[in-house]
Amino acid sequence: MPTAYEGTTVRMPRTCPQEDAVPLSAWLCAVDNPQVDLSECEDMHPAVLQCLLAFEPSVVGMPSDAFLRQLLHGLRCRL
Amino acid sequence: MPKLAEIDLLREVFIPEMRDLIETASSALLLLERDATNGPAINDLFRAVHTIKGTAGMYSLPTLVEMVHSAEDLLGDVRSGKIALQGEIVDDMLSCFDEIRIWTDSLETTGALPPTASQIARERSQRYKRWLASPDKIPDAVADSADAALSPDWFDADLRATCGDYLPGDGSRQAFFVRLSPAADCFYRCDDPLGVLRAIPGKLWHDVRPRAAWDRSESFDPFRCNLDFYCITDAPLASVEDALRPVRSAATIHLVTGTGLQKELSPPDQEDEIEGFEFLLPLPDASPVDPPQVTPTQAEAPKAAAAPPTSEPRGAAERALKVDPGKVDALVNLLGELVVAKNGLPFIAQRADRLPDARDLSRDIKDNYAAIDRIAQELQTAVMSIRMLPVAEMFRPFPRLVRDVSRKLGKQVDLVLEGETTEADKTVIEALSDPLVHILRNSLDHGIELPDERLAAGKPAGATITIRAAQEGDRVLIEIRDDGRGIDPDKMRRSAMAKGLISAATAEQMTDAEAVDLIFLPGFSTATEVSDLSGRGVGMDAVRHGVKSLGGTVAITSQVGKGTSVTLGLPLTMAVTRVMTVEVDGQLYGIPLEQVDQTVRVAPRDMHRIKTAETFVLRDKVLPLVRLRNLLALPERRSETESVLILRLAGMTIGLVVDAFNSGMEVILKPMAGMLRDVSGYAGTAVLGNGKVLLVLKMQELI
Repeated sequence: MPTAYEGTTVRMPRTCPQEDAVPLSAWLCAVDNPQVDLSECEDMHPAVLQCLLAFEPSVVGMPSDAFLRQLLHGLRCRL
Repeated sequence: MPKLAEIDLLREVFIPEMRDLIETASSALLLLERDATNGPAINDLFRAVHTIKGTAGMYSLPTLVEMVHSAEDLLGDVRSGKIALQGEIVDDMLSCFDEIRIWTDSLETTGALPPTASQIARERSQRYKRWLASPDKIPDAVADSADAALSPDWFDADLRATCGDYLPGDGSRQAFFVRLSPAADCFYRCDDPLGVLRAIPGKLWHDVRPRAAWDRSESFDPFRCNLDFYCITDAPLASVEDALRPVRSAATIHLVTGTGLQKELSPPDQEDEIEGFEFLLPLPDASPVDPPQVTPTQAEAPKAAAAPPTSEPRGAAERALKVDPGKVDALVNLLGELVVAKNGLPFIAQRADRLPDARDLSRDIKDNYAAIDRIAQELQTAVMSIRMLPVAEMFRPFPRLVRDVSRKLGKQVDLVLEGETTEADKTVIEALSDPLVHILRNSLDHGIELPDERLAAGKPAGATITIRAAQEGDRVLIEIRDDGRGIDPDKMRRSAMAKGLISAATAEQMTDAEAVDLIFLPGFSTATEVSDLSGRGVGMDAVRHGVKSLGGTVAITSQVGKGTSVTLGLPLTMAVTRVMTVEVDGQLYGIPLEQVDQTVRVAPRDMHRIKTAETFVLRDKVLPLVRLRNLLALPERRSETESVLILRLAGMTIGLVVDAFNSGMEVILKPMAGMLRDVSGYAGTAVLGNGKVLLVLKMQELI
């Protein structure tokens, strides 16, 4: 399933490829109070991770993968 | 033990690397012993010991790792000031390095460590642990803060607080802290630091942090990596290293001790690689490793590329290319053949000259010859410069030697090295090493007085030995000077007489300088007691013989009470021999130019026959006359005036009658090989430009 931008929320796919990084960073920069749904995400390219850490969007669904969750613990979680 | 397939790699890479590291570590340790605050020496020492351990780990030599690891612990305590660097510790460390050297030799010859290795390693590590547990150790609380102080800069309070719960502070198990600091452009190189982090086994904790503040503007570049990854793992080091392999140069592994981090476990050559990398790609915030121990300045790097490595600081020299000496020798041989082939061209040009209508051809050949000649000469200079080594190479073991010997003898000696960048041919450097050690030992053993004796003589308790190298024309001069008791010429005379080496009459006629020179007589040793250091009666005689066989000279001057100075003079390069060519019975022969004093023509009336020997008078001196035709068993020939070559051989001057003098030339001398090897009287052969072979005579063996 491809990355889905819906209003102020983006739903990230199971594996986030590096191609997502540029549109994601542009979107995060442009949108007020962006929200990210990572609940389906199991792996991501570090460039994508970097976008999330830089713009600190609210997370509306944490990944089930413990390794990723640990890295994203600094992001505000809004469930 | 290393696997069979690894043995080749081991021989080629590991062994030379290990030897270099041991040298570096030993010399740094000696510097440190003299000045405990010498920062660069501490870093050199640590880096070398680290790398020894890391390299040994890579080649699966746990025994070596065990020994070096405990030595490193001890050094760690010395660095943090918990233990003072005493002479005994330095002794222990040096003998540890010696042990590694022995093991390296064993690896080279047998491919395995010596059978006693594991026992030695165990004993040594226990010994080092005893040093660690010595009573004057500071209590644990302070030790902890010392651990913290040793931790790298980036291990700040914030990071410590985040991961603190996961640090096995009680030391109950071994854990490693890994920092992954990928270069800013790593994504373009398809590196996946996140995947690497995920693959690290046994993670107790992991985290990611921005390296610099985020740029949240529209110009944010998601492909410029601004992330540092951290993790703590209790997996075995080898598997952690394995996981990190794709990005190893961007990773640092630290052993966790107490609540701090210690001992960056870096693979060998890492620093070098990074230095080069930073030089090529100057990325402002892309330092791929933390730089606490690496201090290359970027200004240094371009200089190193432009200038010859020897005039550079050691760090730059270490980046230089390592070439198998055999390859250089092959190059020298090829060059010799090129010179021979080149010298054939003028003959072809002459032949062309004689042909009708071939003037142009002849001129073209001559033009081409001039160009090839120039290139060959430049090539020769370039190849010779590859073979040139700085004398510092030869000086390397001396600080250690002086330290060990002077400690053993209870003397205080300061070694001063000068002119270390002076260069000489590799063969000269290698051949000089033994004579120098001999002279140095003589000086330490006989020249330098005990501190009390020195004080009584109004000299400072600590003696100074200076080794100075300098280039003078086409020779390299090495002077070993001490400020010891000097050589007493009267004692020399008496001693030589007592040993029956000279007669009383000769002794009386001798000047003081000549008496001092007696030290070079075979079988002469002034030492009343034979020590294990020097004074076995072969000393200086062996030195003179060794140096002379290389076409060198040895001179000694001494002043009683003030000191002694020995000067060695050697040709800069050995590859090219200068010979004087002479003609006998239509054949050319070469005679090494250094033996030739002058050429004269002697009329038969100036020659005299004393019994069977011929002599002649040259400037009021009667010299023996030898005919080369007789020496070579050729038919005799008398002429109006004889061409006589005045030769100096082993302190003797003789006249050598030849048919005609020819030019002097530089040749590449090849020793006699194969069946001709045992033929005496010849130093070797050289090929002339016209393809003929020149026999170079060894006059000492002919007369």
